[in-house]
Amino acid sequence: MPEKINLLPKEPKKTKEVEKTTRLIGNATYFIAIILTIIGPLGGLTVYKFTRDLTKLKVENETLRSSIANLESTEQGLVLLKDRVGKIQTILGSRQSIEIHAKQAEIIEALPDGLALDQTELKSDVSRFSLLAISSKALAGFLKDISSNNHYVSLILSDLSFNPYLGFTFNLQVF
Amino acid sequence: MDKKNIFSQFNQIRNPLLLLVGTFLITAFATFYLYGRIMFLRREIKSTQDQNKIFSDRVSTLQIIRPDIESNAAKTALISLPSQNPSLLVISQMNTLLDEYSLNLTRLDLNLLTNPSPEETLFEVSISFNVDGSYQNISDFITKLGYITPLVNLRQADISNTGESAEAIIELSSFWSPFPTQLPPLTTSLTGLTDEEKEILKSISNFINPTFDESLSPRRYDPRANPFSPDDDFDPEEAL
Repeated sequence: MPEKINLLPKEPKKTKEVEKTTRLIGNATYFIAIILTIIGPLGGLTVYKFTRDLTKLKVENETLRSSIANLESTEQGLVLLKDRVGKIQTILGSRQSIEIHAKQAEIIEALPDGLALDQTELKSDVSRFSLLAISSKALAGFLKDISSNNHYVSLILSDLSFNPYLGFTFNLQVF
Repeated sequence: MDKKNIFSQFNQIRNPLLLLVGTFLITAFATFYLYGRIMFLRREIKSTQDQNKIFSDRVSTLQIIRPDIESNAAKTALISLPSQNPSLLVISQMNTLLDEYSLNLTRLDLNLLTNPSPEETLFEVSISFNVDGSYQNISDFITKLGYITPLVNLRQADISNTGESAEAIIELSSFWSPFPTQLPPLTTSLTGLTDEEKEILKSISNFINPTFDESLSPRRYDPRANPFSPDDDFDPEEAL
């Protein structure tokens, strides 16, 4: 009977440490594979969802851009109008003279009998006018009326003089 | 433990170890790639959302503001502060008022004033003139000047009353400013008219506009033919 000869190399016998290490590596590999199995599809799905959201947003963005392009004439109008209104505000803010003229006109229009206007001077934010009063009674009555009016910030009476032919002449400054 | 034994033991764990390293590398690569991609998409989504918000606000602002832009008050604002020297318009307005109040214009001077500072774009022209008529009419005329467009500012008004008639030396200034040439970038938010700006528009809406004004519609410009060039088609006999 021929003797059986095994020509294959004999597998070395695994020691306990090798078996333990192999098991440990196997477990770690399984664990990492599980992580990969979870992360892969989850990440893929997230990327897919985000890409879809982004595409939607980009479409919306294009639509809005097109709407803005259609409204460009309105935008130009708005920019122009805001520019004009800002500058008009500056101009209107510097127009005290016209308001002071209105106050001046109000006084002159309400001049009582016995008083007459000689001349008026309006410059920047000061209004000065000279008046003639035929009598001290007329002058006193006018000053009483005007001083009781709270409409004026300040009134300055100056250069009061008397001329027997003309009567009283005086200057009044309104602010 | 000898060297041969160690090598033999390593050989036994080599394949599982390679599998572990391979799995680890694939997982790490996938994780980093997906993380990077997700972060990039999130940033893109955030920036697009922000941009869409600005665009959406801009569209709604423009849609809301449209009636205001097309209103007469807006047109009055453009006439109130034109882009070119408004002297002619102001004189035209003054002329109408002078007729209305039966005043005589005895002198008229125009003087271009320099703009206040280099960065300012508000230009000013001075219009000084003398008028005579009754004091009341002169006073009403000056008051009415406050309600004309282009806007004027009363710089000086000296009235001498000589009993039945009066004479006034008046100096006005009127303004103009070139139109803006640039629109704000698309990515900046656009605000409509504030209450204060609406109030200003409302206050000037009743001002008296001139009968002619600066047209803003684009016009085709045809260059004028050179009058000195010989015209081949010109027949003097036919012209006679």
